[in-house]
Amino acid sequence: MILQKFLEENRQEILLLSEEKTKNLAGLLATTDELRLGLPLFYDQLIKVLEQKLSANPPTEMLSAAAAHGRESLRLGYSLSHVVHSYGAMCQAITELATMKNANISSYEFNILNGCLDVAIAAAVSEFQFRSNEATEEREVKHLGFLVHELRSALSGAAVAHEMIKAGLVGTGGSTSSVLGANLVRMRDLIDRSLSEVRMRADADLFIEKFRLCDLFDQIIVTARMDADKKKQIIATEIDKKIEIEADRQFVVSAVANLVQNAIKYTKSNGKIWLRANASGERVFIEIEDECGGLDTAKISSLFEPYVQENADRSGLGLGLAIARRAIHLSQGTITVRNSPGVGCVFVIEIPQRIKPVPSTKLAVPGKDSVQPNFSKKV
Amino acid sequence: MKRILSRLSGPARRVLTLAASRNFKEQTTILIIDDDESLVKNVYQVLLERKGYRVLTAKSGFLGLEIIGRELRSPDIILVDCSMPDMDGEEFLLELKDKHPKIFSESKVIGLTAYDSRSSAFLRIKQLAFDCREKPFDIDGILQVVSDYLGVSSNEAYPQITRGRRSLGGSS
Repeated sequence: MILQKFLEENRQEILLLSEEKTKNLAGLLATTDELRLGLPLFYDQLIKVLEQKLSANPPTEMLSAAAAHGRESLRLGYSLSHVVHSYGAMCQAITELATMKNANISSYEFNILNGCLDVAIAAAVSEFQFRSNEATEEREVKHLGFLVHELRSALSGAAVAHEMIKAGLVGTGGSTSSVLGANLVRMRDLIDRSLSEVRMRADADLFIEKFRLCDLFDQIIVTARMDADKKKQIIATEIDKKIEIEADRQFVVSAVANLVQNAIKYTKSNGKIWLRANASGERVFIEIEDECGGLDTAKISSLFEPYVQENADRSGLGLGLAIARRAIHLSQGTITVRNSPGVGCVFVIEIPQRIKPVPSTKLAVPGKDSVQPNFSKKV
Repeated sequence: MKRILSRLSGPARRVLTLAASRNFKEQTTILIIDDDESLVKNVYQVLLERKGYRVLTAKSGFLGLEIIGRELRSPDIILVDCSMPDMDGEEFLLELKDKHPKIFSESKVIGLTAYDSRSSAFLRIKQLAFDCREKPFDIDGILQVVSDYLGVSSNEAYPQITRGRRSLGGSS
């Protein structure tokens, strides 16, 4: 077998060339011995297959090595494309070197090589997908658990406060009443956020309504202040009260509320959070400025990816920024971030003042179709 | 005190009995650590003080440890919310065990959580603390959490403190 001999004689050169090609694909991603050894392991098994002239049923070792390669790639944050291309890189390296050295490899041998590559890629991809689905499922369950925990916590506070008022232990307009109100608002916000998440995932139809941006800010600040007060933070606003926008209110609320919650979470105690809004031409700019101490420049590009948490504080699930980006994307706008190292950062939302209707867009009939529950009655 | 009371009758006896009972109940100290300060002060503290307990509150694990360090004697019960920013219930318990082992063994430290009693978060706290309870949904539930660990019924006027670690067998 010429290919077998060729592979044995040029082992080091081919593996080096494959690694170089794979490195170019992976960029700055980390690597481990397990991942580095994955392809040489496949290479040696390929030689074994050629030696034994096995055209079908590749050895179990080849399958399990490829599966381990897929698993390790996922763990290190590689994409599915990396997994496939790493095997492709080896194929390229073999072909390039064979052409360069005029190795007379038969098409039968190339068929065996391709067959082995197909099997290895399939095993690596299957494992990668399986583990990836498993991890997604785990995160979904965690997310649901977090939501239920938050709702249950708010319900517990509201139920006891309600019972105290009902039993006449406290007055109806006092601080216990505020506890009831605050917990109801918390539950409403959690439900709103979940609804927008569901809508963003399942049906991205827009319900366009006209509303004043300052009213939307007021709604968000009511809840945000409760959390900011706990850390003695100040929330300051600077908004042009005349700004009216035509957009999907729930999506805009979801984006701004998530960014404000994020700002509260990462701003130090006694710090300040700014909410600004102004309009220029047909565009509206909303800024959320915090005092988080600045972002790690290496992590800025992945900041809006789901389950990424910039800070050591891991409360929550790291979904806020991903949800905000999706909500603004659906609102035909963009989110960017300006970093001030050592100080903080400013998230800037830019959306059109009037969203352009797309075929599936629905116009909300005020008071009928509005997705915003009416909580105007004070408790 | 009993001898004095036996000599008195009418309003004077009633006033002194009440004062004596309040004085006794003030010995029972409950420390509540929860980041939801408004809920703790306006609901938990109001209800428990009405029952005559001395209630101390802290809105973080750090402040809770500060209060514990200042107190002359160990609180009878420490109720700690398991999910708090900066220092969660589990971290608080480990800090308390490490820095104040005497108080950790003397006080009944009870984790309070909105997680289900079968969840791993709940079971972790239950293993570490004296016990763990789901957050109550009514007044009786709150009073029950305290009375269960004092060895009295939630309606009993004079809570008798029972010290030492023991299991109450399950949660609410």
